[in-house]
Amino acid sequence: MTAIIAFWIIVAALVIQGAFLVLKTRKPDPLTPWLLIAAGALLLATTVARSVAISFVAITGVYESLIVLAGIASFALAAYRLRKGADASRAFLFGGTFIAFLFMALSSSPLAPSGIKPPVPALRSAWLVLHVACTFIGEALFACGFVAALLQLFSRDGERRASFDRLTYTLVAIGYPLFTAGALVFGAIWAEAAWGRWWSWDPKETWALVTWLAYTAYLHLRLIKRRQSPWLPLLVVAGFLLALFTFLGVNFLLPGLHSYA
Amino acid sequence: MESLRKCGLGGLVPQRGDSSLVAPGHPVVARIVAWISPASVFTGPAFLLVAALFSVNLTLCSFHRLTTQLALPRAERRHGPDLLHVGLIVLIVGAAWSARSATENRYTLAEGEKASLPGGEILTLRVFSFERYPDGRPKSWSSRIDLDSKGARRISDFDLRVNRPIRFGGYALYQTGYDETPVVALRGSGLDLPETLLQGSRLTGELGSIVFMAPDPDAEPGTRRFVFLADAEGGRKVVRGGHRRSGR
Repeated sequence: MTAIIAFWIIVAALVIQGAFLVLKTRKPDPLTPWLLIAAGALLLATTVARSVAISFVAITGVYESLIVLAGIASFALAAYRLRKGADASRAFLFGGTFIAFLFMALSSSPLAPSGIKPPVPALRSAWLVLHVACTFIGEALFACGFVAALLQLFSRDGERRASFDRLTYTLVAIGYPLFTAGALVFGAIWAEAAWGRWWSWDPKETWALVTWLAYTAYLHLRLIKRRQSPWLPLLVVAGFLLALFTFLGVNFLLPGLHSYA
Repeated sequence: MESLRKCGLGGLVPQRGDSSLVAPGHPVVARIVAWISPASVFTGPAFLLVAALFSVNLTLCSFHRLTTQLALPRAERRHGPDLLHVGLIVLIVGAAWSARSATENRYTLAEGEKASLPGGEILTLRVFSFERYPDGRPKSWSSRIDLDSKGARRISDFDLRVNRPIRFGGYALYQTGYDETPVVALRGSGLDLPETLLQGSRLTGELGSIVFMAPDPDAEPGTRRFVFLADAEGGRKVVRGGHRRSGR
């Protein structure tokens, strides 16, 4: 129920932001941060309630993953809006909220059954919390970075492009170490404890590595080219599409050790 | 880019498999697939060469970056990327060392069975237990094991579970899978028979033969019954028996 309310709050935020986008005002709407915080808090409450029901941290299925991603993205966007105040980009907020809306819409699809199920033995590990939580925070920031990179890509004004470049870089620079720690480092440590191998070249692992390489290429290229390369935002866009494929595509198309994730 | 391409290819095709099974009946396609070696991309020379070049590149760049940072005033130094780079180098060295020195063996044991480890130690599966949730998904499964070395018991009745391996004398023992194989206990006075018969096996004796066919599809819920075909002078008979589980 809380997740459904959160979904409609995100829809309301999207409608309000859409209205402000077409209005002739430069200021972002004042309701967005509070609506996004409310949606994030409700999604957090959903996760807590499901965790209590199964006596384990409820981040073990696709539905739970999607609402966590939407919740983190909502909090990140609210934080950006509150920090930037009236200077916050309305287009970025709208795009980011739309991504949170897409996560929620996917969570209500048949691809993500919402039944509350306790985890199978393989998932009963403290490492799951670190592995999944850090990965999802990183991926939610990558999602916001994807929106900023698209805006950078399609901005004609040099100043706006530079502003979106800084925003993209900030989001990736925060998300990258979290994704590295969660998806690769904690994942490898957990894999050693569960399967006896740090790395198995499982499809999920391999595509997580490809995603990580894309963001690694972005950070290094930005360091070398100092914002001059047109490849910079494209790499972030590609990185997020790879992250999506790693998260959803591998689950449904490529069987492997992570078939339950 | 080569590394990305290889990762992508290896991420699409199951690894450690038999690539000849990809296109059965098409020898030309099978030959091309075998030449590309998609089922062993990450142990093939092309990938290892790229990985080695990447490692050398990473080491040199990390050293260059670290020395550059150390030349700066203390307040201007940024060592976060150095930490990440050094961590990656340690990871690569560790992976290379493990690949060279580690060996992996798999043992499938039924309750009460023993396996001899490469160092002469004896691994015994005492009890295998398995629980399911009401919806049929596995809830927990564990193997209680003993380990004997040089005639002395080193590990007694350890509860080996998923995510709970045991390390002893250079070994790390993991519980990686389970299987349920119905077994019939043969009891008969005066018969020279083994104690058990696995599903699908035929046992021939002086009195005739018996084949353990399959679990009984008509068994009542909550009961476990199995179908056997026993051929003897008196004709063919259906025999029902119990079962036990095995772990590995």
